[in-house]
This record gives sequence, structure tokens and C-alpha cells, in this order.
Amino acid sequence: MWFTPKFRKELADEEFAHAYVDELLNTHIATQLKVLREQRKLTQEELANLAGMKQERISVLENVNYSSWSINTLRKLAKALDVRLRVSFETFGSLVADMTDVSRQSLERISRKDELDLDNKLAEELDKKRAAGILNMGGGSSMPGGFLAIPGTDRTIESKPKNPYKFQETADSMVPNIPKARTPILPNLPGAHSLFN
Amino acid sequence: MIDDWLAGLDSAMGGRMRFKMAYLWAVGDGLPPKMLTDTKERQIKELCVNGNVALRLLLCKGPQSNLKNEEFTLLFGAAERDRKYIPRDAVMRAEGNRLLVLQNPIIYRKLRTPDVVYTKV
Repeated sequence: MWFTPKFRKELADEEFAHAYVDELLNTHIATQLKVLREQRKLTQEELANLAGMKQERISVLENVNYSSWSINTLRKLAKALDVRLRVSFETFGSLVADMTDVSRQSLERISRKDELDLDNKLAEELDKKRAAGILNMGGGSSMPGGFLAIPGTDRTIESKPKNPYKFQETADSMVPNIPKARTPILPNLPGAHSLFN
Repeated sequence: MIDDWLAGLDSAMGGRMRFKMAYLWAVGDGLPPKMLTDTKERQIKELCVNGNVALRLLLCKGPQSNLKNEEFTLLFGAAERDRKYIPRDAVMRAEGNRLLVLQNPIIYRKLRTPDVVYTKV
């Protein structure tokens, strides 16, 4: 996938390009805020209470035409939704991906609490399987260079370190307190990422 | 007509409008909150872009009844000041265009391509 030639020409215009991505940012935040609230089955009023705001304010923020975002407001909302806030400078090239996957699922994120619960549940399951001798964990460690269990199967795949230069030698020693059964699982759920990945 | 209107916008407003159009094309109006707002004509919706001027791109779903959930047709480009359209009869003109498209969609409409296209690698 790529930009159309006409659009690439337009992106050469600095004013056009920055206005385009500015509007993307506004739309993305407003849309994700609504998606996350609905994912948690919260009303605007309930989210407002959690974030220490008024319902009317949430209604304003959940509008693609709103543009006066502040990091502090976003921090409050992130805490209320129990997710982390990530603010990042990006290249214009990454716009392609941002404009390609814009489904509800791509915007959903599970909460920290649900993520931990899920992680614990899966770890228990793996413990049971290991105790029954069903699962071979190979290297065992949950860190890069170890093995990643595939939920619902007895298969394991080798998980390659993302940065071999940093972690290759020290993978196991970096997490001495994590039991071997605490294997990271990346379940096939939208927006779900193991806390250990 | 819409192309002429878009071409007349300054770079910044053009960029903002083009994004909204691209997003509507990619996602539709169900997911992004308040992406389209109502006008006094039930069938006519407006796509709002705010900046140094308030732009209102008037459009409709379909308009053919069998395509109402699949297509949007851009009808008329306007601005808004003090809660009034410029030109004042923008919604009426959009409705007139909608009726023309309904009569003969092949003559009065052209398909648009998105800004990001898929190509086989």
C-alpha cells in the first residue's frame, strides 16, 4: 500500500501535510476515547466521575472536531481507563499505516487490571499443564530468547529477542524473581498485549 | 464542482478537509464520534472542519436507497460564520444537487479515490 501520486504531491506542501496530520490526531484521540469508554461499558457520566471531570466535558472530548488537547487531560483519562498514555513523534511515512487500520478493534485496549488477570489466569493454566507434564517450556524464561507458549496448544515457538545486542547475554539474569511458569502470552484479543512483552 | 471548491481552499484548510474526507471514506460515520452532523434537511449531513474558517462539506448517504449504507455523495462545499452558511442557501443547493444525482447518478457524479491505495508488492 502507498499514497496516491496526487496525495504525495500534496504532502510536499508543508502547511497541507501538517494540517492533515493535525486533523488525524484530533480524530484519532476522540474516536479512541469513545471506543475505550464503550469497551468498558461506561457512560460518559461514569467516565467523567472516574476522571474527575463533568459529563459535558467528556462529550466535548468525544468529538472529532475538538482540537485543544492537553497532556494533563489525556493523563487523567488514561488513568480513568486504566491504560497507559503514549505520546510519540512519528515520521510522515507511518501515516500510511495509521490510515489503513482504523477499525474499532485496532483502537481497543484492555485495562491494566484485566491484562494482569488474564496473564495470571494463563500462567496458572500453563503451571497445570507443566505439572501434568504436557507442556515443554524449553528455555523456560519469559524473557527474549526464551520460548513463547501458544494458548490452546502444546506447541511452543522460539521467541527471538527484539534487541539481541542488549539482551542476548543477560536475558535470564535480568528477571531472577519471575518464576519459570510466568510465560508471556499474547492472546488473540484485540488490543491485548502481555504486560511482559 | 467539489473539486473546484477544494482547489480554492488554502493549504491548511485543504489538508484538514482532505483528512476528514479520507477518514470518512476509510471508516464511515459510525465509529468516529460526531463525524457528520445534521442539517435542517434530513437527508443532508455536514462534514465540519474548523480552522481559520469553518468549512462545511454538505453530503448525503447514497443517495440511491440501495446504497445508503455503502456510499456518500459530496454535494456542496460551504463555509459557516455566526451559525449561518456562506452562501446562505447552501443546504438548499446541496439538496438540489442530491436530487440531480438521484435522477442520473452516472452523469452527475464521479467516483473518488482514497489518498492511500493498496498495491501488490
